[in-house]
Parts: sequence; structure tokens; C-alpha cells
Amino acid sequence: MRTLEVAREKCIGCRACSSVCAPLYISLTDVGNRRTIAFPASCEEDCDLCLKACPTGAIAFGAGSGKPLTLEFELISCSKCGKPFATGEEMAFVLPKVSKVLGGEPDWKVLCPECRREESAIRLKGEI
Amino acid sequence: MGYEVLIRPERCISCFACEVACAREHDGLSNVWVLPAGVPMLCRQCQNATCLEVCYTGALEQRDGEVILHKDKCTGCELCLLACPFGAIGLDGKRAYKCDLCSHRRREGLMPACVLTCPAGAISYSCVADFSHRKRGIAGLSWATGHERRGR
Repeated sequence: MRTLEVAREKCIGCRACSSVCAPLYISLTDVGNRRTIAFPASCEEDCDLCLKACPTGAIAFGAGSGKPLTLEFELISCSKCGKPFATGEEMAFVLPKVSKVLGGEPDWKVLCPECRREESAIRLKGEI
Repeated sequence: MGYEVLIRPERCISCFACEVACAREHDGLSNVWVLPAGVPMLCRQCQNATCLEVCYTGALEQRDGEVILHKDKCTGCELCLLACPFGAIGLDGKRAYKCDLCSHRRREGLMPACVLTCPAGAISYSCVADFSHRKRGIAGLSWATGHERRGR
């Protein structure tokens, strides 16, 4: 039997594995400001999409009998609208890369994508 | 010089025609958003694209001044959404989506749908040099006549 081994410390709680899992064995649910990702103990499909899709290489296949794993993440809330939009680990993964391109931490890091859209629209309107 | 979709927010009348046109061209999902401020927002095709930096599968690619999204490579991880300063990338269930400048239309020599549809001329498809030349002309005319002009 092929088991799914997920390294808790590597997982950033993104949507990659749950999005690519065609039979929906890996599930992701956002309730309030909590994100729950549930992994099955084993997977018999001839497929390694989740393993390939993981941005941090947190998923590996093993042998033997595993047990189902549920990971919980706390979601960061948008400072403008209050909607939970990303896990802290996701932002910690994204921000250094973004800061490298922009040459510093952006001020919009506390906003959800919708509010960023709105804020940049207001800024653009104010410039003319 | 390359052609770009350029916005003139002062002309936007918030009619949502661009959203409808975009949705029609992209299987019912609009890649442009008209915001309450009266500005159509869409992917800026950034030169220093932050989304490219976080995409680890090569689904986002920069070519000829455009940021292209290859949906077949997209895992739907949502990291590019979190990296975009303008919130110009959306997530449709399991895949990201963004403005592709109507690549299928441009192949046939047609303009992007939002540009063609905008009744107010708030979205234009031109190169930066032509765009700024026109804006300078309008500004000069406004100054000379003492009236505010919003010519096309």
C-alpha cells in the first residue's frame, strides 16, 4: 500500500495539492479564519500530481500503513475588509520573493486581493 | 514599441460593458473588474512581475512584454494572487485566471474585446508613445482654450 507522508513543518497551506487532486482525496476547507487540509492515509491511484504540485516539497510517498492527516492553519484577515485571505505561512513564502523584486516590503501585504484591486483603483483615480 | 492596454480612468462611466465583453470572450469569467472608484482594473503585464517570481511551475511566463498564464501548468496554489500588487489575478475554483490581452482575438488581427467595447474610450490599445502624445495634445488644447477637454 502506498501511503501519503506530509511534512507538517514544510506545508504552507496553499491550495496546490487539493486543486490538482482529481479524485478529491485531498480536501481543503476554509471556515472562518481557519483552513483545514485533510490528507488520506493512503492513495491507490497511479498518480503523483500532488507530489509534483507542492511548492515546498512537503509531500512524499511511503510504504506501510499510514493514518489520515489533518492540518490546520490560521488565516490572516484583510486589514481593510476583514476577510480571511491567506495563511501566515503562505505570506511568509511569498513576501521575501515579492520584496526581492520590489526592493522592499510592500505596504499592500496586509490587504486581500480584492482590496488591493480597490486600493490601486482609488490611487489611480487620485493621480489624474 | 509594443502595444498595451492602457486605461484612462477619467473617462470611465462605470457601465461594466468591458466586464461583460471580457466575460463573453473568456467563457463567462471576466478578467477585468470595474471598481466603485470608476476604474477598470486588469493585469498590467508588469515588467518586474511579482507573480512570476512566486510561480514555481512555470505556468506564468513573460514574453514580448506580456505576462502569459499557461493554464495547463497551473496548480491553483493561489500564490500568484497573493503576490500581485493590483489584485489582478483571480482564482476560478482550481485554476488562476488573468487578462491575456485577448490573445485569441489578436491572432485574428482583432482588438481586445474590452477596448473595442468601451463606449467612453476609457480603455485603449496603443503604444505608450502614441498614448502620451494624445494626452499631451488634449492637455495643450485644454490649456489654450481654458476648457477642460476629455477628447478621445
